[in-house]
Amino acid sequence: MRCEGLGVSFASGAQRTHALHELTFATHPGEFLSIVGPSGCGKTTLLRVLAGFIQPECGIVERPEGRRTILIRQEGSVFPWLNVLENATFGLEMMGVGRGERERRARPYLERFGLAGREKDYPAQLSVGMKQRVAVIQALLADPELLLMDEPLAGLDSQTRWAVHGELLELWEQQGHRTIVLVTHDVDEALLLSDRVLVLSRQPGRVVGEVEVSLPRPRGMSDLLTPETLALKRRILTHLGFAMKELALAFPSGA
Amino acid sequence: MPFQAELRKSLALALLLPALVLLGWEAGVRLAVLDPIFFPPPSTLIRTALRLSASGDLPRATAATLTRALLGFLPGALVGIALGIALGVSVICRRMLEPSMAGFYSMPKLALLPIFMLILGAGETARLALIALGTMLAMTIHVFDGVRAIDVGYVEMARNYGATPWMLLRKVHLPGALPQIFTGTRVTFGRALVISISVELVTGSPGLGNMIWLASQTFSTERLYVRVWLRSGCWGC
Repeated sequence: MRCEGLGVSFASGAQRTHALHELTFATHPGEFLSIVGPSGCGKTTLLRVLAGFIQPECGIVERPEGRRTILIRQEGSVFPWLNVLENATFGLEMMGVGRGERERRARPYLERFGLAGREKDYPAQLSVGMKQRVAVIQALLADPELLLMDEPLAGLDSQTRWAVHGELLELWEQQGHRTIVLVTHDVDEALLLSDRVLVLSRQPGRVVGEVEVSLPRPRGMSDLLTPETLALKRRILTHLGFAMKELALAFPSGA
Repeated sequence: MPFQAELRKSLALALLLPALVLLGWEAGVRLAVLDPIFFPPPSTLIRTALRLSASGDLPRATAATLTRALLGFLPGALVGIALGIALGVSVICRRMLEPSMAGFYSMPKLALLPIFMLILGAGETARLALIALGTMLAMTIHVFDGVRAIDVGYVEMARNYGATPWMLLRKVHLPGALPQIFTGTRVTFGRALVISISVELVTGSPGLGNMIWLASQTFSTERLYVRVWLRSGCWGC
C-alpha cells in the first residue's frame, strides 16, 4: 500500500477544515505500521481514505489489487442485531461462504479470544472488550491483505488490552502475509506492536517523523523498560512534541 | 414473583386516571351537576354496552371497522415499508420523492375521498384505497427515518466485505430499521382505524363510525359514548 500527496478537507459552513495535507507514506508487505499523533490530527480520516470510504481531493492511494482492505473502527464494529457468532462470521457471510464452513472457521478464533460459549450472546450482553474482540475476529476471518485499525482497543482496560495484543501479534506472526496499519495515541502500544512508527502532525495531518522499531520479537511489557526501547520512545515523543508545538503555535496562549 | 408484581403495579397506575374520571362523572350526574342528556352516567353506559353487545350490533360494527382498517392497512404498510427503504437507501429516490411525500403527508386524507369515489366508484374499493394511501404515507416516513438513522459505518463495513446490494438490504438496512418498522406499524394502524371510522362517518358504510353518527343524530348519547370508547380502546392497544 502506498499513498502520496494525500489531501482531504471538509466544508463546515463557510469554513474549510483541512484534515490531511500532502501526506505521503508507504507500507512494506507484511509490515506492522503504527501511526501516532495528537488527537484531531486526522488519523481517523486517513484510515477512512485508505479503506476507500472517502475519496481524497488530491493525491493517490495504491492498494494491492483485488485484495481486501478491512477497517476495524474504534467502536460500533459489531452489529447490535447479530449475536457473537453471526457478528464474527459477518464478513465471511458477505463474501458468500456457507454457514457450516463459516462456523468451522470461526470456532478456533472464538476459543483463542476467550469467546467460546458466548456464541449466542448479543453485543448488549458483552463488555466493551469482548465486543472489540468480536470485531477483530470478524476482520481476521475475512483474511484481509491490509488490516486498518482505528484504536480498536481504546475502550479496554490495560490487562485485557495486553492480552488481546498478545493474541493479535501471535496470529499476525503465524500468518505473516498481512499488512497492519494501526492508529493509536499510545506510544507504548505502538512500540510493543509495530515494526515502524509514523508520527503525524496536528491538523492538517502530515508525517513529521518516522521511527524504525527494530526490537526483537516476541516483545513483552518488560521490554518497554530496556534502554533501546526508551531511546526509541524518546525519539517518538520528540517528534510528538514537535507536533504539539505546532499546536501551540496554532492556538496562541490564552486561546 | 417480582415481574408479576411489577405488572400489577403498572396496570393499577394505568387504570387510576380512567377510574377517577368515571367516578367523578358518575358522582357529577348523581349530584345533578352534569346533565344526563349530554353526560349519561357510566353505569347507564355499561348497561347500554352490554345490551348492544348482546344484540350483536356492536360486535358486528366493530368487526366491520377492524376488517376495513386491516384490509386497507396491509397493502399500504407493505408499500410503505418498501418505499421507506428505497428513500433511505437511494439518494436519487430521496431527491425525487421526499418533497412530494412531505406535501402529501400533511394533506387531510378525507379530502381525497370524493375524488377516489369518482374514480373508483362509491363502493368499498375507494374507502380501502384511502386507508391504504394514509397508511402508506405514514409508514414510509417512519421506515425512512429508521433507515436513515442506521450508522453509516455499518453500511461501509458490509461493503468492505463485498456485500451485494441485496445482502446489504437483508442484513443491514432491514434489521437496522426494524425497531422503527414496529413503531410505524403501531402508530400507522391507529391512523388506519381513524381513517376507517372517518370514512364511515362520511359515507354511512356499516361500522363503528356509522353507529356513532346514527346515535348522535337520534340523540342517544349513551350509545354515542359507548362507541367512542370502544374506538379509542381499539386504538389504544
